[in-house]
Amino acid sequence: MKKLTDIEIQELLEKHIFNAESSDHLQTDRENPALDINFSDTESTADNSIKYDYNQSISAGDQVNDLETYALLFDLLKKEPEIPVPMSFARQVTRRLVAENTKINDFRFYLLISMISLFGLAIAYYSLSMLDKKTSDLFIETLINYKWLCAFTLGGLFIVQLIVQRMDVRTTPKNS
Amino acid sequence: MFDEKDIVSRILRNDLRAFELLVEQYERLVFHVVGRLVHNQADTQDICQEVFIKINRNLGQFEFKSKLSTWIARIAYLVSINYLKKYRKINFNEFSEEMENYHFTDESPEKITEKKDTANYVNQLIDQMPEQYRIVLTLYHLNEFSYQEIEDITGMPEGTIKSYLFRGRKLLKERLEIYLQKEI
Repeated sequence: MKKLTDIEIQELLEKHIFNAESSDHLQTDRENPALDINFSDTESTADNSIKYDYNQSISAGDQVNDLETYALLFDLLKKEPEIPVPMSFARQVTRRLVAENTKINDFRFYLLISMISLFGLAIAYYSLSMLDKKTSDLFIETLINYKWLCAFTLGGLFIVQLIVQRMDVRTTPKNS
Repeated sequence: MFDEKDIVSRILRNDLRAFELLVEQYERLVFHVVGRLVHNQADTQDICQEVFIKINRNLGQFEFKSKLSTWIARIAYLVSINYLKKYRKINFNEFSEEMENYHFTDESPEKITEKKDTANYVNQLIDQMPEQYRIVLTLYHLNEFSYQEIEDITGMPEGTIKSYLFRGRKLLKERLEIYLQKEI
């Protein structure tokens, strides 16, 4: 009778040749159906790096114990660990998704507004320069004179928007 | 009945209810994968949310060449690994050669089982193992993925997956034997 190695026992359990329930009946090696199986094909599938020297003699009793412990282990590994999934997790994720999509859409909106404003200014300058060169120069001059006011106004609007978004995130907790 | 193709097409049409159904269907899988790799419970929930947000954003790229669960598990795995790399700087190769001599903490089984059963004891042992052992054992036994699917999820070769499984189980079996003997 060939002695089973750990690898062989594990492979048999993987192939469901016996399971945790059937291991209760493995009182002796005579009753163990796995012991009559030819393992020549399982040798090739085993990873070379994990071939241990298990050829030393093991008593039949030890072998049955091994089988039973492995069978129990396989059974235990199938049991779900206690991972607390929040009750309304799906809703929380959806809420977060909506919040993030809103943030992205807001950013796109402000980017679009900025582009339109810049484009509008360019158009205005071009139109003025076509009609009256003096007025267009005055337009540019005014813009340069009030550049800080424009910059502070735009910056202020941006900061207010940022604060509003931050407050929005704080009032919508991720895990509530 | 959960129809993957129908749900995916509805999500791509911005149907939030369909997305909620998808989350409900796969939340346990994602929690198992992330929970096995990330031990901090607060971070786990946050990462799981991030996983589903990524799923929603990238669902258009899913071509049904694999099972949806495999694709979702891969995203969960990669997001968790990124988190671990960012905060713990893990090295996946550092344990593989030393696994034969791997030692769990000295906490005695009796101490652990004062309040917990055998399954919890095994789970605690798994939690002490290196990441790649934990994920392979979880995906194979708990989520019942095949070797090929685990290869798709983790990117590890099949031989390595088998090696981790056999070594991990052998180690757990040895500890379980000691535990059972002491229990008797």
